[in-house]
Amino acid sequence: MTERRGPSADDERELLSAYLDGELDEAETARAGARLAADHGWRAELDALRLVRDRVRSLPEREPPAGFIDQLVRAGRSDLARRSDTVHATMRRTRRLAAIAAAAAAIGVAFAVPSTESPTPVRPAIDESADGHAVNAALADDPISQLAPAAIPASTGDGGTP
Amino acid sequence: MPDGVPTWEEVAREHGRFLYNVAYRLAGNDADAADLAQDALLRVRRGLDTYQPTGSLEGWLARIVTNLFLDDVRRRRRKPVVALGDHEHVLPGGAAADEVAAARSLSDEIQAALGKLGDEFRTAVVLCDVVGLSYEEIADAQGIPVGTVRSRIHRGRSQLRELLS
Repeated sequence: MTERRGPSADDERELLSAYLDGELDEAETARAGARLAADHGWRAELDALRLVRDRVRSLPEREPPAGFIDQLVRAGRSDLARRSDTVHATMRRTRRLAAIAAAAAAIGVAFAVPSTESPTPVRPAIDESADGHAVNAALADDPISQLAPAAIPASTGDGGTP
Repeated sequence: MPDGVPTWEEVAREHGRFLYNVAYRLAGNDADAADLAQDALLRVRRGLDTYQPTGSLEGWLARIVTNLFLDDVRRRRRKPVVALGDHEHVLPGGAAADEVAAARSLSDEIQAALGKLGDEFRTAVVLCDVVGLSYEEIADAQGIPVGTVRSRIHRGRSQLRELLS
């Protein structure tokens, strides 16, 4: 079984500063008021807290060193100008990079597009080359190559070497 | 820039002293206060475009400088340094020398006590008693429950009471 605990003495005393600052709700204000009316110790503590609060509140404004605000404004202006230059430089660089990228892409596309032209024919044609080789082999008495059927062209029909 | 929102330069000129004062009460010395105020104004410049003037401008500025201070403390675990005897520009001229000395002494004493508080307690007390924010505004600025604000302010003041007695 869980036992529900009420506020501790410290929790209760935290009411004092909030009471002083007018930060309690209606029920808490009534509770603190009743306690203050009955408890001299609470009243003494409230007075002491009020004194501390008033001392902090009475601190004079700490002035910045002479010229500090002007320096801040000047630094801010130059920083703004520098940032503006940086932005413009970045935009110029971005535009340059975009142009380079576009050019590179165009070149890449040009290489990637398949050619629509016919392949260049092999010179001499393979069949012509084979026939020529067979003729030469026949004329040179090459027994292996002579196995390939080949007609001896008329121009080499004299039996001499080409 | 939304209507009714000042320019960055207007904020710097009209509220720079306020920022510096809050920064000084938090950091406890002029060098860190100057750094904090400058950093806060840089943040302000970035934030002005989206700033919605729902609360007070000084509340918003105090929130920025306080969060910068706490970020810095968390990052560096820096302890505030109380610069005593460096208050030549705190009080206006014309007051009698003994009154000036007494006021300086009192201010130094309170500032020294503030500097001895834990960072969260000091922040809560400064936002409440130097800046003048409500508990709800402090809770909103710090991202903590109102009950935590209440506790920190009370404990901060209780410690100040002991330190100043």
